Amino acid sequence: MEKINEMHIKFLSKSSNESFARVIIAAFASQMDPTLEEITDIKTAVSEAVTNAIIHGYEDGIGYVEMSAYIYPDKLVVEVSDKGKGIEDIEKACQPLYTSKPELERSGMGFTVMETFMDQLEVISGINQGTKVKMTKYIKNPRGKTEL
Amino acid sequence: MEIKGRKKKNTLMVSLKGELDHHTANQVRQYIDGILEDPTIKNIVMDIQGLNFMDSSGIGVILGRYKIISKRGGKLGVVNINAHIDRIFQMSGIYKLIKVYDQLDQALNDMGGY
Repeated sequence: MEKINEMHIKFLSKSSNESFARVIIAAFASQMDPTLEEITDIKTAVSEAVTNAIIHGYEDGIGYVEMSAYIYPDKLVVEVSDKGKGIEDIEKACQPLYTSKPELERSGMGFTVMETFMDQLEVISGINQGTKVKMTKYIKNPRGKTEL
Repeated sequence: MEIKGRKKKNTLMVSLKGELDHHTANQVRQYIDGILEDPTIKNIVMDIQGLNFMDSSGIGVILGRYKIISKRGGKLGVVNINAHIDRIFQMSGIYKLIKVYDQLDQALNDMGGY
């Protein structure tokens, strides 16, 4: 299906940008007239992806996190990517409760939250090349649907 | 993030207002752990009515505090959970460890804070 709109932003891997990314995606997605629950799901998944990029991708060093979002008639696609150290074993990283950083009190739930709150999740990663998380959320009654 | 704490007998009541993510988690952790240096505190009750956002970083914060007080033989209770936070709690399995209450009074009673 045809893409209706898209946006791209790039920000430093600072934890204060986690809430910034949530506000941006919520504002962009609001064009589709999603429910409050759908917006919360998207914000939570984006928060997890951006947090992963900051603490795992760059391990608290500084780099750029990029977020792109695409609006289709029936769905929102969000990509969050970093140029950090990459994930060695994606399958293991996606297991619930697995964390490579238990000392940071991470719950190991990041990918599980993304998977649960979004409809599709794709993780592409290369060692020392970075990680890209692509998430899709179907919006049940998007504004565009009735107009098209 | 706005954090308020109050001690009642051996229970620490903490109310959180704002957004709990990886960025604000540190603030909450430091605040609570500072008060927990008082060894007479056994239980924690967290009132999260004012939380308008939480991601899995919140689970990490709660689990971390649970570990500290469970070593003291204490309990951790959470009050005023909304539907969104309930879903995150459920997927994390945290309900096996913490208790949930509708009212702050109920939680305090159960902790022996009254």
